[in-house]
Amino acid sequence: MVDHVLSWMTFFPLLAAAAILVLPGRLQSAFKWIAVLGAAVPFLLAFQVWLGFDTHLAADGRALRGAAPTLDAAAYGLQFVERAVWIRAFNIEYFVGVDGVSVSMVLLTALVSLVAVIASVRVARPVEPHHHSIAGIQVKERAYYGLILLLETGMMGVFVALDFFLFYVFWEVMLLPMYFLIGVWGGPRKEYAAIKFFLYTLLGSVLMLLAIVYMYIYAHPAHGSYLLADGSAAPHTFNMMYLSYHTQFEWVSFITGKLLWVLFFIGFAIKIPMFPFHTWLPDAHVEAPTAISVILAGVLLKMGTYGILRVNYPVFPAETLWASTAMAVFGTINIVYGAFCAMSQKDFKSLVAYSSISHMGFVLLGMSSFTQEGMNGAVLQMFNHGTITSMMFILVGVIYDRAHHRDLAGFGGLAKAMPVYTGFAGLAFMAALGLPGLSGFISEALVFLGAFQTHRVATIISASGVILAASYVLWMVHRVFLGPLRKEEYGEFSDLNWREWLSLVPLAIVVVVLGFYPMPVLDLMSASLGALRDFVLAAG
Amino acid sequence: MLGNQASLALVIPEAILGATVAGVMALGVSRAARSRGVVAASGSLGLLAAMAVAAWQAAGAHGSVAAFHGNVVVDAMVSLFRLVFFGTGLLTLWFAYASSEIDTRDFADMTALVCASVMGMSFMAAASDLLMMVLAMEFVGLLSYVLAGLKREDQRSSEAALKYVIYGAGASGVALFGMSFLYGMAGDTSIQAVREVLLGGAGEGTRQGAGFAPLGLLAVVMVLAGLGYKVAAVPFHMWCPDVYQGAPTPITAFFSVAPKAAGFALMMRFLSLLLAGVSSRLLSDGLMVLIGVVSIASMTLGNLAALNQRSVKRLLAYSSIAHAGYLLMGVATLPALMSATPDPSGFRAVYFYLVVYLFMNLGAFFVTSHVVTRLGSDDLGAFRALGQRSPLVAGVMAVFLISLAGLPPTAGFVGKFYLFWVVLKQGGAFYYVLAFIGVLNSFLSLFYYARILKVMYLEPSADTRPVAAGPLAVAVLMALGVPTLLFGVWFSPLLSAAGKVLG
Repeated sequence: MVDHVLSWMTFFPLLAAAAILVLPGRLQSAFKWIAVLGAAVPFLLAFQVWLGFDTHLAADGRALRGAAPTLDAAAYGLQFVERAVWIRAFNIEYFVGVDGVSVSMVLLTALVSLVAVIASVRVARPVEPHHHSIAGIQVKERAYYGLILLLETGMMGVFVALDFFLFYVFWEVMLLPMYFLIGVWGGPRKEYAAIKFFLYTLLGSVLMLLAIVYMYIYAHPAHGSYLLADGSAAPHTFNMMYLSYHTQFEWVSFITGKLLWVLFFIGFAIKIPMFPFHTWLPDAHVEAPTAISVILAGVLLKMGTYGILRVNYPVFPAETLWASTAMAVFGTINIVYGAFCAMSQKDFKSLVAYSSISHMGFVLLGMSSFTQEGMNGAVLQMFNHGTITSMMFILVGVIYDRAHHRDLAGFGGLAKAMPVYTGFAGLAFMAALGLPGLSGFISEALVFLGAFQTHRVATIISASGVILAASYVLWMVHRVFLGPLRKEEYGEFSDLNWREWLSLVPLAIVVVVLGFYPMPVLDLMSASLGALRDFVLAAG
Repeated sequence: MLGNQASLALVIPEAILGATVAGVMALGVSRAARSRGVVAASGSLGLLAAMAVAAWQAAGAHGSVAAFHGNVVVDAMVSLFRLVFFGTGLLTLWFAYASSEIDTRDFADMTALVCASVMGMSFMAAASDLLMMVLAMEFVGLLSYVLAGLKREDQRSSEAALKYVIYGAGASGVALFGMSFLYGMAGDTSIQAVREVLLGGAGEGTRQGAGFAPLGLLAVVMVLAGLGYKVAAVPFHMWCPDVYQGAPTPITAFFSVAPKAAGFALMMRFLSLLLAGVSSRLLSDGLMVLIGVVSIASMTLGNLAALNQRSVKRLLAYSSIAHAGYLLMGVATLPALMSATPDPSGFRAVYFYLVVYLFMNLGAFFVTSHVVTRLGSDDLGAFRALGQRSPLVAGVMAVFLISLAGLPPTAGFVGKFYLFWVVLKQGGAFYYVLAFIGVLNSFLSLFYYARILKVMYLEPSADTRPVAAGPLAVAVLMALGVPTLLFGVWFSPLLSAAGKVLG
């Protein structure tokens, strides 16, 4: 058992990245193994968090509302907490911990990052022909693994940070590695895709920054006073828990809770990505190298919905209720619009990318329902989408490595040449369309079950998303895997190699197990989400 | 109020610099001037000694002392700004030493000019008398004109010097005219005396106190126009891109930080001495709106104009105009200083940002100077594939650019955060709009900073030979890059230093 487990999970990849950065170039062949180690250690630590997590602990929001801020982490339903004063002058703390919502995301991040690093072990060789120099290769491999590990630190940090300043730092730290990973190692339109991703996300986050600073200045404790980690009183706070449960805001001129809610929501909605802020996603996914698409879809998109649950819900419960219909409507648009777009794609990877938009719509819809089933379903969908989409992107990468194109119309009959590959693909895509027995079904069913109680019309329209998913998936399977071999050379394609096996099997196990028995993940989040739901509804 | 002799101990740093200037000029006419090393070393020695004394004085400063019969005040703020000016001067010397743009025969002159000009700047930060303000400003201005024209054979450099002179003369004229009004109000050149008139105390004229507010506003606006030229704020910015592009790169680096910091120091000194506690709605609202609008115009215009620049020096010139805009946001919190319980936190945020700006902007210019020296051009194309050709230089440049764009975990983020904090803290729709436009601008600025990143890392270059960086270059890069990152995650010491400004 490791002390400070969340800090180790967050910063171990950074240490590995630093090691890769300073090691001499002649050890170049070791870089990838250091990167694997850098991602494997957090993965192992994730088991400690999973096993040690007390699933019954949750914050009693209504009781907290009437009480003074305390240092007792358990009262807020937080576990594995580490807390220390960082910058006293601004009351900034190093405050990390997990509750039921974040713990599943931490586990997902650890899993997907490890899979992504394994999936890149070979890919990180130079792809552009003009980089022949030995120095170039060294720099590139060094940079690639360094950046991917830095990215993991940023992602992990976002999910464990409970201080707004810290949260924002981690949130922004992810942007640059992502920019370079897409921009340097991506496809033909990589530069455009990278800058689009960067600017879109930054626009959202600068708005969020204003809202954070405003909250810091104009939030006052309803009872007692804010406390720093060492027990000293503080007039202002960045503490997310205090801002959620112990705070009265002072609204000045046109700044109101609704405006702040919208600022945060836009910042997060861009990440989800919610229609109409979704246009960066197909570009970024299609141009990014396989492993980076895996991380983008597997983890980064969840930051948007996680942020809404972490910030918008508890800090602005009344405003959240005010906006619940809008969230449901946007969720529905995401589901239907994303599915229609996916259906019309000619490129295998953009099909998967648009399916992500559709699937993230379920999360929004479930969240907006304020029922136990709907909210559990939403967070479970975040987890399941992370594993299923990661599999799909790896599978697209596998075929791209062999065929060097992704044109759906150019494939055919791959089932004959690559039976094992086809098996995995069948599993992943069936899970994506929500086949009972696989994990995607459970979360989507829960979302529908929950959302139908609150947003009837939206749910009925959204249900068509399942049919649409079935049509784009089955049509794709038909074009790619079935029928006669389209080209002679496809017959000589080798089936999965050990690296591909290794990256697909862990995800496949999770998809199948959670399809039959989702309780290991559902139990983690259930208590916290229930408490959050009660807290929000109490504000209505 | 101290007399002349008693005041001498307070200006030891300036005295050291005076001696350094004399020494370097003597070296300049001797054989030793053939070696840049000797000149650079003696200049550095003087600046380091002056910095050491200033740091010692800053640590021990209590309250403010009016020295030289009230011509200057010496307090923690002066010492803290001395560190900024002298530090910039020191780094400029090293840049120039490493650069090929400064002729060896000009090197001693340049060293003397830089040392003298930072000496003048520290008087700008200390001036508490209108006459002293003018003298210090003009002293620094004159030396800057010569520095801009240092490359005598280069037409661009001469043009830069001429533009600088003409704009400078115009701006000084306007400022001087404004000061004549202030003198007319009080019959005294002491800023304190003018303040007393505005407060409603004794005045020369028949109208008293608040009756002077309209004239006071006009006069302050005219003085601010002169200072707006120094800090390159819109609409007094036209000289900036041409001068920055024409001057030798190390001098441009110097111009982009030191006179700007000096302009802000003088602005803060002047406004706080003149207006602290003056409760005039006309003055406080008028100046708030005026400075706020200038701030918005500077950042927006600076950022928009930077978008399409090919020359990195010119791009950084427009970026420095935008940064003047961000800094003016802090000055726009002036009404807080004029209230019954004066709150100088806005000015502290300006100091904080200036220190951060010193590291990141000098850093960006140093890399540009390095590229100009090694590859002969400051065009964006020269930066192609720098990520492969010189990973260290490109990596540190990336840190500077990210910091300039205001992204965590760099010092630039913390500086902007502090500025937005003081602006939002003031409350009221005007400040919210100001902060909103501020964040939109910092988003806008990413477009062109990211363009440099893109060129360095994503664009291939026909020439893939490594670009060497010598030990001096690496040392300077580290001296600038490490604080840029460090102050992003651990900025308590800098915060407490900024807390001493007007404390």
